[in-house]
Amino acid sequence: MLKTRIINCLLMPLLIPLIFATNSVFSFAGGANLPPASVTTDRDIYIAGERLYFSMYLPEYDTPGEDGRLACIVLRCRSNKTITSGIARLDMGRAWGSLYLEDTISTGIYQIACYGAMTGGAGGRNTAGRQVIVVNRFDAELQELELASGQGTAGRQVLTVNRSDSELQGTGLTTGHETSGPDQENGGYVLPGESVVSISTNRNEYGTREMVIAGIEPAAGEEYPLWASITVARAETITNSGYSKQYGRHQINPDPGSTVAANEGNSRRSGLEIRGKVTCIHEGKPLEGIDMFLTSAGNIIDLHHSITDTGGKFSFTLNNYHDLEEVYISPRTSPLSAGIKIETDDRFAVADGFIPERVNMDQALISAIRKSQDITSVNKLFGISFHYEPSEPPLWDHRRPMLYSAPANTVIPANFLPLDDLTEISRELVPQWQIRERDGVLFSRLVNSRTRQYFEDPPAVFLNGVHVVNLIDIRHLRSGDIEKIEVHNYPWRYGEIEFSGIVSITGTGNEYRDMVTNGTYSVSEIPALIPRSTIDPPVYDGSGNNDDPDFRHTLYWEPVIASGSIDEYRAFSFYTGDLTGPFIIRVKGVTSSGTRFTEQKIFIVR
Amino acid sequence: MPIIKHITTNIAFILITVTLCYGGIFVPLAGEVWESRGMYTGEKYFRNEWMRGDVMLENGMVAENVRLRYNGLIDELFWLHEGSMQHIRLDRGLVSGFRMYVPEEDERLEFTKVERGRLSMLGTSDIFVQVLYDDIVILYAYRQVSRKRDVYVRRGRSRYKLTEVEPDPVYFLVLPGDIVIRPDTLNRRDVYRAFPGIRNELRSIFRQRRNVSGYEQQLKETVRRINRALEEHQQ
Repeated sequence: MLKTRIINCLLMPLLIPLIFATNSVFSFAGGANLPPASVTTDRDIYIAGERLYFSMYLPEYDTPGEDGRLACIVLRCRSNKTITSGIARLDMGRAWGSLYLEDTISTGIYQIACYGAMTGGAGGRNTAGRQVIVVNRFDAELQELELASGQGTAGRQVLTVNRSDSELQGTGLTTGHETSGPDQENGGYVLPGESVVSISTNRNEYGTREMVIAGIEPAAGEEYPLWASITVARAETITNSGYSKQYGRHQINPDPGSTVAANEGNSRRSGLEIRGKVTCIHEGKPLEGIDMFLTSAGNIIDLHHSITDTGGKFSFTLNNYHDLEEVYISPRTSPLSAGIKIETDDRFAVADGFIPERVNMDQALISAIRKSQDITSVNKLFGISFHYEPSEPPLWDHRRPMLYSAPANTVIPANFLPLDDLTEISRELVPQWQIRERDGVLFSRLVNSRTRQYFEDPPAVFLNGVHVVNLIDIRHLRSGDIEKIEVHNYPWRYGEIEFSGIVSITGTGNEYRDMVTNGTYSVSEIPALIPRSTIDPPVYDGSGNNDDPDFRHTLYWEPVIASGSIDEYRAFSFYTGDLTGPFIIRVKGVTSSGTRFTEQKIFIVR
Repeated sequence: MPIIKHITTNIAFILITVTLCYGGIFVPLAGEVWESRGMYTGEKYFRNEWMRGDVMLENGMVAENVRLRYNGLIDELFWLHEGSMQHIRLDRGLVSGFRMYVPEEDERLEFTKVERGRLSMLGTSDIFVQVLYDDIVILYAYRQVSRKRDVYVRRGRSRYKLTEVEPDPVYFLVLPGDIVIRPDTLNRRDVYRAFPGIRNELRSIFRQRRNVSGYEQQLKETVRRINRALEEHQQ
């Protein structure tokens, strides 16, 4: 026996590190050489009322065969306030789409930040941010930008807009790859002379509505693009900065060993994470070991369960069925509900403050912005949009979770004489369900379908899929308010939860709404899923009617060049619009060794 | 030798840890907390031990690496909830199939839920069948366990009734066009005519009794040959 222990003692220290080594082999998440999270946009300067197209790469989710994971996207202003946000579906760590910049957004410097929406792997540790300028269409003063020009990050490079002079030599632009930049210290750049891809065009000058044939080719070297996007936009809307930055950990930070942390392994392939904390309403101290339910309104019961840890924290990982706007979090049992406070974390809160780069408000930038304002106004006036949103099947369509497939008994109150409240209904119509009132509290229990004895504990009751904590909240329901009552009076297990039977009431209206707003529940809003929208550029090949004006800032946008597809020369083509001046073809990405790169080429439209 | 044994044990531990780390999503299984009723002699389970396996749900989710046992007497799948050691009769309406792993035989037993009507059986419900071969021609085995007789035994002063049960598998061949034939009841001449190239093999199969050892293996081999013959014919 002693010998066995000695052998184990000798072997385990050698083998345990092997576990972690194996982890890092199987996933980027455990590796120290995780490539940086990156986000890029089709332009750097936007006018409110336009769409901002983004593409992101979260390497910790770059696992073959994996998709359906989610990422959070936030557009925040310099005071760290969220302007717009959403979640996007990741496909091997890549996601793209667009954010609509509301007309009411005020002029300023903003940041688009993205990070994994799940806790699995290294989610949250790898947050990328990118600075963009958004100008209100009706802002003639541009004071906010002028203010920003004097308040930027000390010691950082000043952002300069690419000039729109008619001559290429006058633009101050260079064709080729970036060799320096404000984020160089973040380890983002390929060194000078090490182009990752080269961009070529069939000409350097084009007329309006003329086809441009371009191509990209990986440079001869060991590095190749792991992820990249291509944009072709007016040079005036692209600044010389805007590099994707890597930030620190996302604000939500689970304690190691807590329930939240323990759930991490299981949430790797799941959907959105909802976290929060339960505290005592009187003393404010965290409450441990509280059974918490998360439910949502609908035709089925989609139940999630969590137990609070020592810090009172709970964590729910939504399954792939969710397509709802809000969910309801409640304690499992009613005696607790009076004395607890449930708070949920803000998933879009980014811990690191956003310190914008300084903007060089020279006359070139001001005139470029004013021109963009006018162009956008014309586009809005004529309703010109080249936005393309593919119709995708609902992501979670078939993932219908069910607590049980068929109830043991179903009662439809409309088939009987109308009754005045739930107590009466249970007594007269649902013989398996007994409801009794004691000291102003309602108690209920079911008859076990197998033993024909009463269960000792109360059943779980749901109204339109929402967990009912206090039966008294729905006591007032009359026959006319109830479509059906499903009784499932079996000793039932659902994952880690055991029930002494289940009662599911389907109401004729939205009676659950009054119930969830009475303070017992925490209502958590589910952000919308951002569609994988792109730009659908027009084609001027002589076919079709193309009389509409074409004032596109962005001529071409390819959000994701899949890994492996630029192993060799790759051609792409697009048409110029009615706007003249210099345009930039920009390829931004991350190389196989994890360094960021930007390559760009200029052409002129006359 | 003991060192090798310990290394093996520890590597197994590591592999299990890694598997659990990357084993995937937590999918809640639903079912009735089961209390066994009746006493039996013989095996009512397809495999008596709890085996590791996965449960495929109707909603497309898969509950991975759970302990399962199939009861052929009542055609129900049981899940061992390891936290409470409760036996859970899984809600069959939610289950579309399951697989169980036999590590010592390096084998994966694949089961699917099929409507009785599809197998030309009486009734409107469904049954779990083991997929022995899945190609153009599919071979299913319904692992039913039948009651043979009641046996009365005396233990001390008490007398108990035990129900004697024994495996009574039923095999189904599903041909293209959802034509189902049971090898034990089919018209042999029709089959010979349908597959003249493998007539001798079919004849040797039909001559054997259903429960003879090796019958199932030979049936699988025949189905494999039928599939190959059909593929060649299609080409």
